[in-house]
Amino acid sequence: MTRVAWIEFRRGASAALLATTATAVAALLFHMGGAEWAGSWSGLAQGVRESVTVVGPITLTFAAWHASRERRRRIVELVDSTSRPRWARLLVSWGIVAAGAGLGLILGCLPAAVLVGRAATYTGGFWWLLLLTSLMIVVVCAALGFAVGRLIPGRVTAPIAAIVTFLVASRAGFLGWDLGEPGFGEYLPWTFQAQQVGWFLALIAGLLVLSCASRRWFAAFPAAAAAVFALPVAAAEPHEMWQEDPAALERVCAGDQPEVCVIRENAFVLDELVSAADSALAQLKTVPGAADTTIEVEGNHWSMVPFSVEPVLFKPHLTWSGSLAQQSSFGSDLTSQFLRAAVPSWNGCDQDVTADRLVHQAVLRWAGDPQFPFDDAAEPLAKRLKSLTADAQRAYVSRYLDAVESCDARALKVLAEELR
Amino acid sequence: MTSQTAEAARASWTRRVTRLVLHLRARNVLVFVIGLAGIAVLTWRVGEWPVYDFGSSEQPWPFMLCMAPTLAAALAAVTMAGADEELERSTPWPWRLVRAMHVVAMAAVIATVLAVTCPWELDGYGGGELVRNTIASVGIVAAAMVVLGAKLAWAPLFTYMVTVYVIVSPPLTAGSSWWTWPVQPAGTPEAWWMALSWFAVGSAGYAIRGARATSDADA
Repeated sequence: MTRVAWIEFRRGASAALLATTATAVAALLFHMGGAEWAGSWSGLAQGVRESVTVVGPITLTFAAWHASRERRRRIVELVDSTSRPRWARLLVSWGIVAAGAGLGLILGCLPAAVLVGRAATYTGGFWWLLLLTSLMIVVVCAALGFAVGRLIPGRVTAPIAAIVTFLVASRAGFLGWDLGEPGFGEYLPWTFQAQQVGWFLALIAGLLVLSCASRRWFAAFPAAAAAVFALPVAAAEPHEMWQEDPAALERVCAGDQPEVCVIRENAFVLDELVSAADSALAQLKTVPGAADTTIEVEGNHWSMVPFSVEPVLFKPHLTWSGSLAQQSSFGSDLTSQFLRAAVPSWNGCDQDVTADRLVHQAVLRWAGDPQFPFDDAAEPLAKRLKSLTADAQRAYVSRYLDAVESCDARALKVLAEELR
Repeated sequence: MTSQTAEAARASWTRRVTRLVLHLRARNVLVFVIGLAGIAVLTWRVGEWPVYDFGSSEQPWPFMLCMAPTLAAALAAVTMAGADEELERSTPWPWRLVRAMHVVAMAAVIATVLAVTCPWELDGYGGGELVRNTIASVGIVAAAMVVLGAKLAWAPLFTYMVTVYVIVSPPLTAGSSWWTWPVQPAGTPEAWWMALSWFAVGSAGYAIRGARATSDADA
């Protein structure tokens, strides 16, 4: 059996499928960027699940090609005349193709898994079930391609089947491919994923019976089982299946003046965030009490974060290794974000305070924000503030922070007049 | 004498038509026509479907922009090799001329059908882009016929189109037209030059060398 399997692997499509799948998964994961999966096992599982959209049809193509080789070479009767039962021979053949695809998927996500393993601090959320179902989708595609190749042999059956499958799957979201976009600290309950596993297993059994059995009506049994599992999976709205994981959403804080808080799922980056916040607020710390604030980070639960607070977006700054880059791919700057989080504007006031927004921009510029001002008119105000003595600058900023905190419209107006 | 000449001319014409019909039947042109009709319908129906997004970026170009010419060229590859290449070449036909006309006719028919049946102008993409991609796809498949033979001639084009569709993200940079031509707008000259180059190279190679002879004879 080992010899047969090795010959099938060498002479069939499995070796090429393994290499192609591994390359495709690795390329797609790194193309997605660190923002999607760095430091997070759930993120990596979600990324692998998205890559299956491409890897699945590729697997189907190779499987259909592999399965139709006997018909193409017109040796079906010759091979059937051997002593081995047809189902055994075809099962081994399919198994090798499926193993090539599965191994390719695992090898493809290995580099990213190593990076995540070195950075991640939270391992909950049934992410491994998501990886398992992704693997099963690839195996299902191998079975589907095998069935198509056996039943409809032809030169261009493979690419046509792959494209049609991609179109149908991306539109209908069948096989549970489309799981929607989870929020921070959310996971798919194991019951839903178990239903998906059952649906995939029944689908594989039905497709293999169609491909390998001489009595094709046997496929009715796994088809019936597949229908039983498919109903709850098809009826479920994947976007609504995601549930909050209390352990992942647990609040973790570090640092002092400022304090930085994240959820446990993002705790892998907390130390770097604290360090970045410290250096960003260095100028602001010269004003007594100005840096005595709590900085919220994206993903922190809405129940703990006031709606007026602008959380720091750190995901676009994540590199593959889970560390933070100063600039994000779309140009945002970490220092600027920390300063905007620490130096509030009057937008958080309940009453209508129409103070001069240019003062806010001038204060941010003074504090060292590299991205302000948005408005060129704030530049002269920032220069005028810088032209004051050091003590006067600090006093001005202190008065500004007090006025914003107390939503004192009159004080804000006075401050605006002083810089004009 | 005149009636004999006319009769001889008619017989010669009948022989030519019969030969052509037999040739087309041997090359599974009917399968190609039916398949092309199916692709045209598919392009018309699903051309405006929202495209799938990978990671954080959404592909703005229609899926069928890349796949419709790919599928059609793969079908055309079925007609570009006979049951036995070596046996065919032993017959006294001007095979180089036949192959050249064949590949040009394939490109023209596919481009016309796709352009005419394409009703969508999705984010600026439409018939012009389909025509360009068809020309390039037929050229690539023809080149692959020479190198790989009939059975795998679709594979390089399919791989390339899938890769470009998945990996290329907006914005499209000016210097990338040489390899992102499938997803460039029709007004990009460099993309047209690449498409025409592929067609020239592929059709010339196929016309001169023909499909690589393999043992796979099924259509």
